[in-house]
Amino acid sequence: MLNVSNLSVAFNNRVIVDNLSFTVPTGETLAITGPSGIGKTTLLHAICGIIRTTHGTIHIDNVDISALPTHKRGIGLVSQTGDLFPTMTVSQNIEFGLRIAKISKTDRTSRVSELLEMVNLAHLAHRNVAELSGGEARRIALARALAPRPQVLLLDEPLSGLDQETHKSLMSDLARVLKQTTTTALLVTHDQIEADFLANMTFVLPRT
Amino acid sequence: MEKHHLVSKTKVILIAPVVFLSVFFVVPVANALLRFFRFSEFSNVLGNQSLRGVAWFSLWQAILSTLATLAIGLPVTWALSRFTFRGSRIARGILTAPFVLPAVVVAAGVLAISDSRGVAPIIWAHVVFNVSVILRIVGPRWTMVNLRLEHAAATLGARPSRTFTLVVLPQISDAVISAATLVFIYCFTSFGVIAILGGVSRRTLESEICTQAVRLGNTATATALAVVQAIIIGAVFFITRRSSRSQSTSLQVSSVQPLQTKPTHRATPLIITVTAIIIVASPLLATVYRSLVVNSQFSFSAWRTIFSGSLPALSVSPQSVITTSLVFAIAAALICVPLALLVAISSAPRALFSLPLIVSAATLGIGLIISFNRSPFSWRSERWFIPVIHAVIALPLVIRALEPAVKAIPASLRNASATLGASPFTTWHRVELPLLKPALLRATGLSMAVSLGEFGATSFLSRSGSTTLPIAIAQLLGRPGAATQQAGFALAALMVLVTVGVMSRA
Repeated sequence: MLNVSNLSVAFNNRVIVDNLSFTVPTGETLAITGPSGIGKTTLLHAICGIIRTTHGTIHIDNVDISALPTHKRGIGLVSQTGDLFPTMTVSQNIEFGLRIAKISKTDRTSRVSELLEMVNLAHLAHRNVAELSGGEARRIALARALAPRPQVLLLDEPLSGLDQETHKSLMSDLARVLKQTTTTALLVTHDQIEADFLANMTFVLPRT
Repeated sequence: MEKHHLVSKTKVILIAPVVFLSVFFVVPVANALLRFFRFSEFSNVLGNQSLRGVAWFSLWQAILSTLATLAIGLPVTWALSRFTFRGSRIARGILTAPFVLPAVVVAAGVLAISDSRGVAPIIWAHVVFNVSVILRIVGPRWTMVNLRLEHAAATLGARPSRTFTLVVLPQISDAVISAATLVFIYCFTSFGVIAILGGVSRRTLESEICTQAVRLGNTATATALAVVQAIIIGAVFFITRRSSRSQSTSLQVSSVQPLQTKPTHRATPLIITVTAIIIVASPLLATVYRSLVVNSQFSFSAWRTIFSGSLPALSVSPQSVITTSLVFAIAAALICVPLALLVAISSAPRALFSLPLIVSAATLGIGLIISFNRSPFSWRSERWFIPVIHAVIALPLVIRALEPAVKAIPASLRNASATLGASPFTTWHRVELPLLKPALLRATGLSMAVSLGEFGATSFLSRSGSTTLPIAIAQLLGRPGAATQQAGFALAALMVLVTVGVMSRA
């Protein structure tokens, strides 16, 4: 369970997120919607520790993670652009978090295969990430984020900028994967259809 | 037809720079090698314990200098590429300025602080110079590494050190290798720094080539040493290019990703930057201090001397030296910048034009004194010859300064101009040239700075009437006497001010 209490974020004396509180029950997905520039991505970055909060706490399963650095929070992130590591292959990207966690080579290989199957891209295992299409890159980014089994998965507009057909197929795959893995997820989107399709509940971020 | 037309155009454009470089660089260097290189002399050099010691010293001091430069340069490159803070632009300016400062000036600055000669001051001087090489080459690449990739690595559990080694380093390694190679070569062929800080016992191959050729008249030994030096430089280039190629296969993605917002207000980058500035700038400030203080007494006498007096240690007046240097710098820029522009706008391979970077100034110096000493080509004593050679040495750097600006002009502008009825010349003159103006000014500043600071080749050609500032500084600092030394520091301080002034206006 993810619990955010009285969270505030400010840059240069400008409040971006103001005193926000919400809870995402274990295995469920909360969609956060709102227009561009309202602070949705900032909120996700604050939750995973990329940016500092000015006030408030973040708990996962009643453990306060507010003071932990990003790499110790156990929170996965899928960004708008995928952000795959350009010097690594598809498999190496997915394997990255498992290597960091010192998982054995055999277990890593089996987990990578399992995730590639899950996102229907097993044939691209050794492909250079520069050769992937937009939709393929998003699927690999999702597989990479899921690989270390994060306690919470943050999805930052994971379907934006895709053509209609890819958007539709990736949306149904994402719904399937979230259900299959029973991951607690926080989805940020400005698309109400996406929010209704993928999430159990929706929260509209208020303007500060 | 289109392709044929382009090829012909490229060939015509390149006639002037190719002829220029051939006459004043390729022919003299080839001439030196063909006339004086003997295998017997080569084996004599290799068998000579003293000369082997010189080669060994050149090598290890260059390796040590490169490592020290990376140790100072990489952290500050990280700080200035990844963070913005108050004064970060000024800090970048201070740290990059020494690259165009004359080696003898930097060496004079280190001498002003350490008051001793030897390995440690030599390495310090090399660091002062070359931190800017790391900043200039690695900095732009580091800026392009997407910050979001580092965030992604952190959300996957990687601590900052692992993120650096697994995600960042693979993306910047080819730039680090390129920069380290250049730093190594600059340190390996160091001449001005060794002339001032080496004392009698520390000599590099470069300084030994000059000693053998000019002082001892032993051109065959000097040529053999130049070949040994070229073989080592060639080997380093070969190894690092192979390594760099294997590293840069999948960097296209990072190069097109946008720059991220930089975090602000962090103490670590600030501390790193201030430390680097102290290491780099303190020798330069020390030249000013030593020019004003002698025997604990504050005095403007050295400055009065260089602007209106004379010095027994110099055969010409300091004012004449200053004028000569400025005239040479302007003349060199007038020759170099148009030629570099021609190369930059052509699509020709750059290998030929990079040669002056690889072949050391002393090797070129030998070629010049033996190739241009007979009628009708007895030019080695002519005053105009020195700025011409300065233009040769500045050419590869000035081409590199212009190229990005030329490439940045979108083809669509040319097409738009052509569809509006403009001829290729009109398009060039009215559309492209105005866009290149800032780059041309920078290139002119760079060319002037290279000319002002050139020491290696000039020391082969300089006569009493054509003494340049770096030659005069080396002469003054190499002689005893407080007043003479103080005048040397005053000239060095003047060069710091002139070079920084020229570069900041460019």
